[in-house]
Amino acid sequence: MPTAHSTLIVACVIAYLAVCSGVGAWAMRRTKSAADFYLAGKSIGPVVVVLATISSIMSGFGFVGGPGLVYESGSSSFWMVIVSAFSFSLLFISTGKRLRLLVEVRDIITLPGAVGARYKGRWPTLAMSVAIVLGVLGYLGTQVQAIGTVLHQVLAIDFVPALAIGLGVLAFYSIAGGIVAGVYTDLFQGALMLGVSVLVVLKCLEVGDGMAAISETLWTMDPDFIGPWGSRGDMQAMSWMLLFGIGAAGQPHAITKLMMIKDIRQLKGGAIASSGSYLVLAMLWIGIGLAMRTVVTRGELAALGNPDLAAPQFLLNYTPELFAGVVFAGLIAAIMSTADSFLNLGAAAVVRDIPITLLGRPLRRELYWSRVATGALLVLATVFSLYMENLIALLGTFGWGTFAAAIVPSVCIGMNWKRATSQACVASIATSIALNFVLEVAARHGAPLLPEGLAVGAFALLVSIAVFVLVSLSTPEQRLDPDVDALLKV
Amino acid sequence: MNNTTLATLCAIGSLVTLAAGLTGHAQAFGFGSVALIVLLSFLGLRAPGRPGRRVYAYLIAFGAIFIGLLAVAFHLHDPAGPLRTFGGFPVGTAVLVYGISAIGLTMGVVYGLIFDRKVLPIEKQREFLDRFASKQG
Repeated sequence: MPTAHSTLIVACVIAYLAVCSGVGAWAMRRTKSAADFYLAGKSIGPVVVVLATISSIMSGFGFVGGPGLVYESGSSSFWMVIVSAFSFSLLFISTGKRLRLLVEVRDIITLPGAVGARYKGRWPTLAMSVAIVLGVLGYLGTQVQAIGTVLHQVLAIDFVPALAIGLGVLAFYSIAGGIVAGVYTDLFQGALMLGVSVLVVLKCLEVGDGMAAISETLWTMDPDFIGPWGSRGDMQAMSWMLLFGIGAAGQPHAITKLMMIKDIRQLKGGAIASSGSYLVLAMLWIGIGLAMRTVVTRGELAALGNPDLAAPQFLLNYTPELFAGVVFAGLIAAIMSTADSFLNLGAAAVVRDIPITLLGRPLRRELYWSRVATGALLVLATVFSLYMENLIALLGTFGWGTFAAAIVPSVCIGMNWKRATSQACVASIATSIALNFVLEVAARHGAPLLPEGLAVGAFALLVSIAVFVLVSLSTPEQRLDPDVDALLKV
Repeated sequence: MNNTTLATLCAIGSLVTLAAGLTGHAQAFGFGSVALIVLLSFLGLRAPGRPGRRVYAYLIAFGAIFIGLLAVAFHLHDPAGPLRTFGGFPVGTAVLVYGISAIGLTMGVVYGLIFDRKVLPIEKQREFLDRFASKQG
């Protein structure tokens, strides 16, 4: 990533890091129990929930990888983001009401805990915890790498000190303030990016001389690039529509935000607010990628060595310094807020869910150990990202697909279908982990087992849904606890 | 139609969509994906004892229009022909950018509109919480 060695950009990023530290210190005073640490005491208002939900989904990948994908393959990745018009609604429809009601009547503060209550028995909780820990390590590793890379370039200092600064701030606010700090930095990021997205898109249109001119340039270059499927083709586009359209409802960092909402009736406006807000962010993803490909095609800018340079190059070349600084701060915010969400999810699995399944109770001094586990996970992810880059890259790519295939059947279907059984829950989660891992490893070693264009995560999601339903129907119906039985009838 | 039927349809839909994907039929894969989205929404919105015919009608219309838009996008994209645009985008892409995003957003609007009457009527919420919330220390 290039840098203009700009004082203004550096000042914006440092100001953001200072805000994070301030939020961490403030949140530490509000965090007095494990319920505060993991669910913000179930006291988050609707605006914060909406912005935190979209911010945790729109990680650094959204602001760097997304425009890069559009620059590289045109409209193909539109299908990852346009589907947010309904994918957030599906999240609210299939999980929001019953999970939040369950949180109200049980001592539940995590997603595996909710799964354990729904299915009874320790195996569903353990399986969900393992899926979450694996996905979390991968996501965290990639976020750690991104923090180091972006700060290294923006601050123009060596990678290791840049990483140390970023991780120091992240460690402080996530260990001290738990999810309270996380959601309020999400709020900051969401508000910031919503504000600048519209301006960035207007700038993109100005740079490309309007959308019709952009289309004309790109159509002349390659009609498929700007056609409805992009240059990756129709199967890849449809695969992404499925994986991101349905899979968003299976992302634990988004689902847990719905469990935090203060008043369940505030879910009412959340679906349309989340969908609409995310679509605004998606305009940035699409706009920068198309504008950069247009100016490169017209010969106004040299071809990019790496598609991921599309967003930073656009900001540095075509926007005022202060504006670029604000967007760079938003980019760091996106990476750090997503990392914080995953640290929190992972710590919950390690300190609460896995001990409950193995020992029958969470660890004593839960808040203390939650903070220790958050720090330990950050260290572990950092070590992995520095010394086991291949493993992190693998886990990073399999994160979204694994979560989607593990959680959509067991939570989105299971929370709405009384006949679903614990054996089916465990079988679908195991199917998800195994398929995603094996197929990703095979693809990475040059021996893809799926036809071209069919995304691994989409394949695993479809198999996992079928396994879940078929195993449920072929195993004896479970006797549910009275509250869960009543919950499924609400 | 009860939820077991809907879940079974989800499994059948998944397997059919999978077959379309494995045999390279992108259009059928897309239609199957939309059917799954509709079935999962049905499962989430369906509450025992409250048929909600208008909700069902909406979801069927949502699925039909979505599939129709996909079919139009497949039909309109002609890389060998001249560029035809709508709203600045090539017509096939415009179907996605303007059409699918618009129909997608209606789901959130409908969820908000039916929340008080169908998704979670206040009396159902009170009844459930009165019965179970007090038991949690």
